[in-house]
Amino acid sequence: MPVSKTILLIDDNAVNRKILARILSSDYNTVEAENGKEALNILKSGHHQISGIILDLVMPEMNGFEFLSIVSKVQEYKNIPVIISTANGDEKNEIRALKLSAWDFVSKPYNPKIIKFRLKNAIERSQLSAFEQLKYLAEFDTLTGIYNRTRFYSLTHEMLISNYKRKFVIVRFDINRFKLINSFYGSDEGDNLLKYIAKKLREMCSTLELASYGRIEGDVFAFCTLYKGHNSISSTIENLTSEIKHFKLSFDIVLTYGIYVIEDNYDPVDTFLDKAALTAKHIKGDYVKFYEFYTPDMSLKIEKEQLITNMMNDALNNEQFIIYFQPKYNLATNSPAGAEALVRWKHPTKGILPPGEFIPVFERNGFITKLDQYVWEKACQYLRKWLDAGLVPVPISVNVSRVDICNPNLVDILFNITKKYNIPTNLLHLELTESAYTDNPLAIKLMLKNLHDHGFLVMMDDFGSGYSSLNILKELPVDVLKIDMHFLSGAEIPGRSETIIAAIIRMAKWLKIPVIAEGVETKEQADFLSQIGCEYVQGYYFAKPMPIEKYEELISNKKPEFIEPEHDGFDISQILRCDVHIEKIFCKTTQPICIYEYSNDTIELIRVNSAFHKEFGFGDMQAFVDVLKNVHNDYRQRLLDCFAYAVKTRGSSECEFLQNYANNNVWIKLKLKYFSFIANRHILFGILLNITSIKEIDEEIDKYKTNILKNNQNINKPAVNDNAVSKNEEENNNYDVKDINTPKMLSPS
Amino acid sequence: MDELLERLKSEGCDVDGSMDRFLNDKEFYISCFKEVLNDPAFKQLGEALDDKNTKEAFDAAHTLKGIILNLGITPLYEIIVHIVEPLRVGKYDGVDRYFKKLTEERDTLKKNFN
Repeated sequence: MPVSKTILLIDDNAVNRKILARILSSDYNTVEAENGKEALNILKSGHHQISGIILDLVMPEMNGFEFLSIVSKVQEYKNIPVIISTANGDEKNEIRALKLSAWDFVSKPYNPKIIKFRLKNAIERSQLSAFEQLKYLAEFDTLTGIYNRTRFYSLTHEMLISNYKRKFVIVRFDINRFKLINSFYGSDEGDNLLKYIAKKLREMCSTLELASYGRIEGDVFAFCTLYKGHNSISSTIENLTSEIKHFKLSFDIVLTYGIYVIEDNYDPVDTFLDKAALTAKHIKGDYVKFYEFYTPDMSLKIEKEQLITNMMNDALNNEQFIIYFQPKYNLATNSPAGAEALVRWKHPTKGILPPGEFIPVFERNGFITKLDQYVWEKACQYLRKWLDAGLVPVPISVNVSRVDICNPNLVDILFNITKKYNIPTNLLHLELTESAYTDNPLAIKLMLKNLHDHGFLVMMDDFGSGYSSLNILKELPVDVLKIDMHFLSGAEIPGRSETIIAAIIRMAKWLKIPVIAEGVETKEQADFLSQIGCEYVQGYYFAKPMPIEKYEELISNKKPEFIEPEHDGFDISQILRCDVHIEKIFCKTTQPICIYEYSNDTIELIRVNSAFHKEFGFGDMQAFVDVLKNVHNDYRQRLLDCFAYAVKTRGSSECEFLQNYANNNVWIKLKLKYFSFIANRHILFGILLNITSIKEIDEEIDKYKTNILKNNQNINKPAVNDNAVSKNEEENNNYDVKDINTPKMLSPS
Repeated sequence: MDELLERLKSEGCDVDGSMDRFLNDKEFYISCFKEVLNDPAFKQLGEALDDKNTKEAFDAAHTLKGIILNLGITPLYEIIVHIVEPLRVGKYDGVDRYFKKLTEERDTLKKNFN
């Protein structure tokens, strides 16, 4: 019988080892160890060669129990059967050893036949176990316990063939930026997430009529089930996503699903998965869409992206990414107030690639974190250079992508870079995109606090573009808001965008948050921003992003090279504020005053003082949005004429009108003064006087006059004609109304 | 060699019962026998008993019991059990006396068969 198996004999007594070696010599090779330590070293150097172990329990250095307890914990050693050698009658130790996963025991004095049988049986059992393990490994994913790629393919194929008349759909999904989870939270946390997903996938599939599922590789999972229409599979996916999102991790777990409705059940399963993978790639990075159905035209875009992905690492290593600077200006001082560091890709053969071509790709594949850190470091290098040259540089702002925000070490990374170049943190401003807030509000809030503690200034980029702008203002102590002037384009209702921008700037002023308008491209936009009191601007109209040399030239001149926007010296936002000066002239005035917006025969109140409320009560909100609503029908046109006159003459006008406040008729005398034209609306200042009591006295006097007149007529005409009196009263009234109705127009001031 | 084995049998050793373990290799048996009589465990047992170190004494006695059994040295086995069992429960009842007896018996064997 050829000898192929090796048995490790562990006993401190040389005679025992010799006897065992002799007993086993016809069937096995043997290696010997005097104690547990020596035996472990032998296992470490080649456990594959050891088919079984005979172990004495009482030994110096490391006894049999200690050895067993170590071996039982090492996955690779678990299949090596360990047989305990005990002295006769040592039951207590035998039980203890068996508990420690010893496979069997033999007693001294040795019985060669028994030793050989027990060893043979144990080795066979271990081989069977190894075979079962191999089978398991061949079919199951060891981490998650669900089917692996091979078994998923075969099961899916069997299911499709045996149900060849039915239509199926295959869904492939993965976790966006899973590598970041591993690197930020450690691979154990990443593994936990994969196990959790597998569990949820298994649970979900168990509820389906027919389904196969498995882990394909890494963070990629798939399932195949009956196709019951787009809506049905969409709903399944939405449910699964919602379940998976319950996994507790301060990282926005985003899954991307590619869906392929199988056309021919007999095609190979891998081709289905390829199509589903292509589909998933097509929507990677789309923050709205997380699943998509396959269409044949999806491959072109993917190829282009793949090309960029292939080149990105070399580009970073070879410093093909160049930093450009786009200055920001303070409109009040007409001087540079900072610059944004932007990245351009200077490709050796393709020339300068615009960021729009590669940034979205990098955001999808996670490379953006490397690029961002590169830009942060470069910005700090330049700041250091300027400081060394004795310049007083304006702050540089850098972008912090939504992917960076997930990095729990972000603040340390930024702080270490500034520390490395000895840059005061207030010179490196950070631009966070608003939409990142919706991903993980709590994490951002904590991160923002941490950034502030380290002295960084944080700008909220693209403010107003997300879904929770007001929440951000409420919850986050951001230092600066950036609004994009592209917001002005594409509004369906003319003037609406301008009004919103004006309102944002007004609101920011109340909150004492500076606003930078970016993307300013035309003189009209610049004028508009100046009129609405926007202090900081950035955009092509003022300066395009420029290479370092040009930017250095610009900051050394310290003079802006743009045409100053025109404005009339009046900043509407000033009168909307309730600061010390405005308090005096507006808030504390005892006469009711207000600010109107007027456009296309609609009048809105945008601010009133406390005296206004005191005089007229608070009314309903609708009265603010539509001032005419509560004005008596007969006086509406008069009020509109009064506004139209003030607007036309850019001057003042006044009129009296009857209005209903809290079910009471109130006569008001209004004096209007024109202020400005902003965002397609005219701004007018109004001073109101409640003249109801005066009007009541006037009415009494009129009645008195009428009675006297009637009495005089009666003296001459004894017969009473009621109709005639009534007509006369009407005429008199009409006369009064007309008289009052005539607006008294003041000359423009 | 056979004469030696016969003498061992006459001393009460279970040579026949043990030979199976030695695949009937008499020479191998005798070499092991001589090795056991010089086993360091005897010395370790004596020192441990002097030091009243129960654990080490038990370990040494236990080792000796195993090899004595394997070689079927019945005269020594009959003594060593009286040492192992009390030590297993941490007692010294008569252990010193039995150790002295064990040493004497071992020395006799050594004298006769070395």
